[in-house]
Amino acid sequence: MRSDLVGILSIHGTALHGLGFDARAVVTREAWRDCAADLQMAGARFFDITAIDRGDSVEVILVLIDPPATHFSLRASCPNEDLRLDTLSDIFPPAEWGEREVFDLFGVEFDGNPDMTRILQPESSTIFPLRRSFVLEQRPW
Amino acid sequence: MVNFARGGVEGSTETMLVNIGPQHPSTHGVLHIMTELAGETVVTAKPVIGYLHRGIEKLAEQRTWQQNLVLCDRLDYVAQFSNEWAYCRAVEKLAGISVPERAEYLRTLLGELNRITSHLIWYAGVTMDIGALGTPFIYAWVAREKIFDFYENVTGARMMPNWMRIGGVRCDIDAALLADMREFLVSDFPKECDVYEALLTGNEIVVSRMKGVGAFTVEELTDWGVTGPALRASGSPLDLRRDAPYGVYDKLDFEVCSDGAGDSLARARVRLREIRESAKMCVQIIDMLPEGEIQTKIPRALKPPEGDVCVRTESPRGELGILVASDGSAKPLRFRVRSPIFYNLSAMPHMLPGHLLADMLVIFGGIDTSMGEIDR
Amino acid sequence: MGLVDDAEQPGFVTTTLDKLLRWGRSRSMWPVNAGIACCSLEMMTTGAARYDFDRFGIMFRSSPRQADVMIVPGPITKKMAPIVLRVYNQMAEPRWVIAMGSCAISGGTFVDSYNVLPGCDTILPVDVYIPGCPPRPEALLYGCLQLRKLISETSMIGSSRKTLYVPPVLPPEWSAELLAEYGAGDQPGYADVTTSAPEVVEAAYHSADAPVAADGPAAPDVQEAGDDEV
Ligand code: SF4
Repeated sequence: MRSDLVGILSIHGTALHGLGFDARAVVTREAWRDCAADLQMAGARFFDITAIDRGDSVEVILVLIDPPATHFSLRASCPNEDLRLDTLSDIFPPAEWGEREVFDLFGVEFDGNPDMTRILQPESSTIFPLRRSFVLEQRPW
Repeated sequence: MVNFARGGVEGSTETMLVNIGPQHPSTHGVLHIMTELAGETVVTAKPVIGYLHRGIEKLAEQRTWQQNLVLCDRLDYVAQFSNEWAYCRAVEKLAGISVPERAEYLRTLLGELNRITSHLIWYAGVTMDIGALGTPFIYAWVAREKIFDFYENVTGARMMPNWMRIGGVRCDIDAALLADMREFLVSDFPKECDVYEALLTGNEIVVSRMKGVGAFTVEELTDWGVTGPALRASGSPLDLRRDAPYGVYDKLDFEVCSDGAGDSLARARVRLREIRESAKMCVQIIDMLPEGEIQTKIPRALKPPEGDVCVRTESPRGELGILVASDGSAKPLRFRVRSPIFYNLSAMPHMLPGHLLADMLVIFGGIDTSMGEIDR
Repeated sequence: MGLVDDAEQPGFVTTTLDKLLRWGRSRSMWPVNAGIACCSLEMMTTGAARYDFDRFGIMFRSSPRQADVMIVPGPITKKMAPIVLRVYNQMAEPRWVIAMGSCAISGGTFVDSYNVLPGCDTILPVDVYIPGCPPRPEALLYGCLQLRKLISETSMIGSSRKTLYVPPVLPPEWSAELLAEYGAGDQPGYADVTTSAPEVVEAAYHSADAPVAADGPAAPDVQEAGDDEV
């Protein structure tokens, strides 16, 4: 991990935990966008944006690459009552689709994303399937 | 402002809306692209996906860690072994399981053979899209069938092998089969490759159709999140097999295929060269293959410790990431697939504008879609 | 193919002609080139040199208008269902459906999913089921030969009409326009061109052609057609 990226993380009030495949930094929702923008300026490359339902909150995970080989993740958690986060789609263009997918499957809305619509499920769908509260139907047999 | 529902630019009659797909022979599956055309030139393009969304990520949360291998096969059904391998690596990292050396070699061998068959499908598809109906397609299937016979002899299934296991592989490969495969890769396969190259990069019509079409720089592509052969065709040397080796790639002698031109022809050349490189790697692996165990003992009810890891691998289409999270139980808490083509496709709205409609399919062929992995 | 449409008491000429038609149709099945999921790769393999579909007169057509067999090679998701149904209704009569692979038969591996229909026979009338995941190319060939037998054994007298197929259960989450296109599903089966008021079904037929629902009064008309028949 390059030292300037570590420095940026500490400016935004966080630090890197874990090593290798598990390196992560947790930021507040307010610092989410600024931190990502600074990391982008310092040369971090977008890899993925996704989320995990932790029960009472949804943890949004941004996986970034420190070129060429290592990667780390930036995490912010949204409480169930207020599932929104600032968009990164103008910082990392591919994040637009990634955020749409998180919205489609988890219901987290990204403020400022130009096209906050369902991407995988049909428009008429009303469910957020990857939430824990959504339970698949049991087979009748 | 484009209003796709109304059919074009609002209040204007100059542009025309054309829907391509979801049932269209050159979208390689069920992809839908809404394009807005001014004459023949694409003004905006918007891919619509989700027609094959089967909810694999949710289904994986209902099954045990080992059972999920079945779903991995069906993710990117053109590169089954790559998906299995990526998933196995992720779970092994999470649970701290080590893999016997022979199993690593076998995995790498099948992974590279899989790259060949996957690129052959791309080859058949892209030549069909630009109008060569039949001939290259039939030729591509010759080598593919030979390798598929090998898959079948090794794993028992042609397409859905379910062969890798967490901590190893399911069954060993016969020495006779390996010798047979080696013989094919050394003697017949290079000749097949010559045919492929003659039909694609050696064909004047194809070259004039592809040359200079859709030329992008590394910076643009990196910005749009494109990875894999499409990115390497612009001159980037990024290849996880070299940069962050896994399997036995660090012991192999191979070349990272990149090309400076960045246009559709370069993307084709890179893939054709990768086919040859992969064949060379397979021969090396067969020669170096050590004896030994193929599976470490793991508990039947595998319960990885709490936590989550993200693992990146180089699939034939780009960087495939698998993120698995465990809460300490026998089923995953989260199984996430970072699909390379999902993000490659998200670059389409940036790539297509300004190109002719007929060139659109050429550019589109350059990123080699497989809807199973995009929609999951 | 209205030649033998109204023959209630088929005579010698009609039956001989029917035999000829059956022979011709069973030897030139043209499936529509609709790859959906993994099974479509085995479908392509069957079309390539080693297994060679062409020797049975089976040639893939890219347009549903030219095809008379639909091979469904994969799971039908909720988003795909209206499109598959529309492609089927755009095919020329008489037409047949082959469900290829366990996904198309029952949902297969994805049967538990929230977004997959439990088999394509919930929206299409299936003639041949080919089990397997994916079925081997030989299995697909065998299935096609079974269909050939079926075609050459089924009399076409009085059956070859332009029809709009309405599945028994229309998914409730479909939009109002989509539901109206199929008469809200209250007349399942084939909405027959010759028994309904012709202009009504014609309108329904053309609304199925247009990618965006036509602004004409096609939708309510179909509803009326249903009422008339009752
Ligand atoms: S039956 Fe198997 S191979 Fe066929 S579409 Fe379903 S999962 Fe894929």
